[in-house]
Amino acid sequence: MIKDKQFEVNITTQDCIEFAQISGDWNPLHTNAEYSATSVYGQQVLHGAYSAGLISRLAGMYIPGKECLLYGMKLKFINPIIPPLTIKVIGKLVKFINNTGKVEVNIINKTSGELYVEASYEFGMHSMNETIDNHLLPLSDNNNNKNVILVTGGNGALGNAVLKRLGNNGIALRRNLDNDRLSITNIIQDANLKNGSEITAIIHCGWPKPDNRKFIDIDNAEDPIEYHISGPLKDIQILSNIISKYGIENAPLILIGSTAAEPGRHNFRMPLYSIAKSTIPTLVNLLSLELSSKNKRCYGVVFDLLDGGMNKGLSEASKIANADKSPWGILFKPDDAASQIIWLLENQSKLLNGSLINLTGGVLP
Amino acid sequence: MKERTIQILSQIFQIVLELDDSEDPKSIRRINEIRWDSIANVTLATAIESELNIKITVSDMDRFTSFKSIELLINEKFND
Repeated sequence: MIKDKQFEVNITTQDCIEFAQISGDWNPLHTNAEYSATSVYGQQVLHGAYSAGLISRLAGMYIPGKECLLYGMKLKFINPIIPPLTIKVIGKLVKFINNTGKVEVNIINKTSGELYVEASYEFGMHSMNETIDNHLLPLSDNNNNKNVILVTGGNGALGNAVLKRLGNNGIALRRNLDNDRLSITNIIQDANLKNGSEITAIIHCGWPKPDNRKFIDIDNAEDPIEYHISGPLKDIQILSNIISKYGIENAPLILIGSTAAEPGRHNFRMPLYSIAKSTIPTLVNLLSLELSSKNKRCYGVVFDLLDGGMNKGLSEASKIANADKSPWGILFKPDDAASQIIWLLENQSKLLNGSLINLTGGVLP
Repeated sequence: MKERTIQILSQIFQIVLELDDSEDPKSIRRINEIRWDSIANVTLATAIESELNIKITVSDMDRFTSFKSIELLINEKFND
C-alpha cells in the first residue's frame, strides 16, 4: 500500500460554479464575483467542502486505493482558497492496523506553500476476494425442474451460499427495480409456476440493508419505515401467499432471522432493521397456524453474526469481539449456515412447524 | 515492541489467572475461562495499566473478552 501521495489540482472560479451545481450551495461568496468583490476576501472563495472531495480522491484512488471503505474524515479550514491557483494535496499514512488506517492530509498552495486545510481520515478495507455470483437466472432457459425451491436475498452472502448448495433446484427471486420489493408477478414468472412447477420450499433471506441511524434521529420517518419495516412485512405476506397456493404438501416457508431477531442484538444500533427482524418470532407463530390449514408449514432459523455479506466490512476488533462471545471462538461462514438450512429442508415432519430454531452455536448475547 | 507487549501480557495473564505452564495465555477467552471472573477482569486491567503504562477506560473494558482482543486494544493505544 502507498504510504505517501501528493497530487496537484488547478482551481478556477469555474470550479466554484460546478461545485455549487453539485452541492446546491450557491452562497454568493463562492459563486458571485460582484458580491464577493465586496467581501473581506475581495474575490470568489472556493467552497471548503471542495477539499473533502479531494480527500475522497486521495482515499479512493491512492491511500489505500480501490479497496477503501471511508469511515470518516475531519477537516480544519486554516485559510480560504481563492482561485485561480494550483493547490497540492499531500497525504501521509500514519496508522495501519488490522486493515484499518488513518491518513493525515495537508492541502497547500503549490507555489507559496501556504496551508489551506488540515485534515485526516480513517478507513477500512473491503475485501476483493469474495464475490457474489449473480444467480438471477431466467428460469425458462435454465430450469426444467418441476419442483423448485425459491430463495430471496440471492445477492447476499447467505442467500448466495444457499443457492450454490441447491444447484439447479434453487431459484433466486427478483425484486421490482422501482421499489426494491418482491412481487407476485415476478415470482410466478421466475418460478415458471404457470407452466406447472411446484414449490418445495421458500427460503427467505432477503432483507433491506440496515442503516445505523438512531430511531429518534430519523427525519421524515414514513419512507424509512416503509422501506425497512412495512416493505419486509409485505414481502413475507407475498411469500406466504405464494407457498399457500403453489407449494407442495408440507412445503415450508423458512424465515431466516439472523442476529437481530432477538431484541438486544446489535445493541439496537440498527433500530429499523432490529424492529423488522424482531417480528420474525410472531410471524412464525401466526403463519404456522394459517399455513397449516393449507397443509404448508412455516418456521424460522436464527443464526448469529456470519463472517461475510453485510458483516464483511467489520473491523478486526469487532470480529474478535463477536467471536469471543461464541464458545467456539470463531465466526461461522455463510456456507456453514447454508448447510444447516439444507439439513432442515430434509426434515418433512409436521412437527417442524411454528419453531424458531436457534443455530447460533451457543453464542452469548 | 509488539513481541515485548505480547510477552508482558502473557505474564500478566499467567499471574492473574493462575495459569499452569501447559496453558497458553494467547488462547484464553473469557467466555470459557472460569478463572476470568469480575475481580480478575479488574486485576488484568490494573496490571496492564501499570506494566505497559497505558490508560484503560471504562469503554475499553468491553473489549476484555480474550487475550487476542486485549492485545489488539493495546496495539491500538500504542499506535494512537
